[in-house]
Amino acid sequence: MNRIVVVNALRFIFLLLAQTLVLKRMTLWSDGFQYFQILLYPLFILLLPIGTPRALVLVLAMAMGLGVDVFYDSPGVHASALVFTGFIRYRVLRWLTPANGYGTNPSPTKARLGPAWFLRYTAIMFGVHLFFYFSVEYFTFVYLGDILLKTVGSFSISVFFVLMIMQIFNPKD
Amino acid sequence: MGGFLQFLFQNSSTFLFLLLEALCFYMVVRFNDSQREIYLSTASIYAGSINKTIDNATNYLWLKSDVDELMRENALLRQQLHQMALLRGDSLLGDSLSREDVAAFLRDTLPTDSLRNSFVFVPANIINNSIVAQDNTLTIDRGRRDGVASGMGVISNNGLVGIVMKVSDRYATVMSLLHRQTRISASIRRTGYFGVLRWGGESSRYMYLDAIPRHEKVYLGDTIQTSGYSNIFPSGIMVGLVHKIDTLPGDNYYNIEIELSTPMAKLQKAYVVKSSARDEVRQLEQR
Repeated sequence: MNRIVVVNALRFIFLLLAQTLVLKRMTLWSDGFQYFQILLYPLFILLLPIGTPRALVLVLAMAMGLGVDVFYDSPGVHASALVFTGFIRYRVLRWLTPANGYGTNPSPTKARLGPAWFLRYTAIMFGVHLFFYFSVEYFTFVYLGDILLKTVGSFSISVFFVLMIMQIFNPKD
Repeated sequence: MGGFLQFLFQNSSTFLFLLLEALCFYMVVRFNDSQREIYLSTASIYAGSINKTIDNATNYLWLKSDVDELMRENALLRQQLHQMALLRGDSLLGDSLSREDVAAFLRDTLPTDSLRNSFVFVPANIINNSIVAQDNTLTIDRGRRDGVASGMGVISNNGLVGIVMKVSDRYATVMSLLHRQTRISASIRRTGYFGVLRWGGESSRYMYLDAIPRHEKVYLGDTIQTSGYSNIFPSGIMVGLVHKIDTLPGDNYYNIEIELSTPMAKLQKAYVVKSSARDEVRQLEQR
């Protein structure tokens, strides 16, 4: 149990730093990249143990979102998106319950539930998160076309990065 | 209360979610320039439309007093219109006199004081009405206190209504046009020939104009107005249009049916006509 807490705490720090110190700069390389923002920090919420209390998920999402917002200088924008993602996590997990249940698996990782399940899980969560995020960034659906373009572009590259990371580290929890 | 607490507890994560989202959006709007711009302009648009809706609703609440106000103004304007017509000498116009001649004649002969307030209009609400009886009457909410007296004329914005019969302190009954005893002097606007208005007792939309001689030319659609001879109504008040013309063999007069301009079946507002000359004229004529 302690090990899981430590792992998630380290992941929180690692993803926050990676997002704000490395990935943020990569999105600034050129103009074309504004449609391909790499957002990895939602992975922290995805990989929280299945039994995490829903309220705790929301609080952690808020903390992570605000941490990212501090560096992106956009108070509340990432946080609102990630809180929403944290809110639907419970429902998505319940919806994606495998035929024989989650069993004793503590964490929704690729190593435990398989690459196909994990891809679906990641796709839903990142799709929702990115759409919500860009909607709040524009704050109006007048530019729905731009919002969708950015969502699709950033979705493909972010999910690609997530799968790569899972391939490399392949954490059990 | 216990049920409510249980409800809160069962949905605690949902409420926490809503709370955190509210906090996030507060920060988004408070600290991000572009989002704040959008929020403020959108909010002002919606606030504007809400204000407009409330305004519309309250307008409706004040509708009655507004209408009363307009009625008073109408009465005043009618009075002024009548004075203008008198001053221009419309009743004296004919083949031999031009408008300038009449104006000069009036200027030279009449002190304008003698024309002032010869008719006064009192706005009234019609609180009872009937059209299906043989002798129809109306009730208005103006009476002795408002200066209404028996024998005064009642008109609406569209034309004639009737003549006041009985008066109490605050109310008065009006003999409707649709009454078998109605006899009102009316003339053809085009020629000035006058006859007597009479109700046939059938439809609330039609009356008869009697005593127009056969040698006079009358056409369908001719305008019928009050003649002003009785001093009950000012001259020139619209009565209606000629609807049907019959000639009976051996009769020297037309049988003219008039379509009334006043919708007697849906009257709401009326004006009582007070004539300052009426008593004097009546005394003179009865002498």
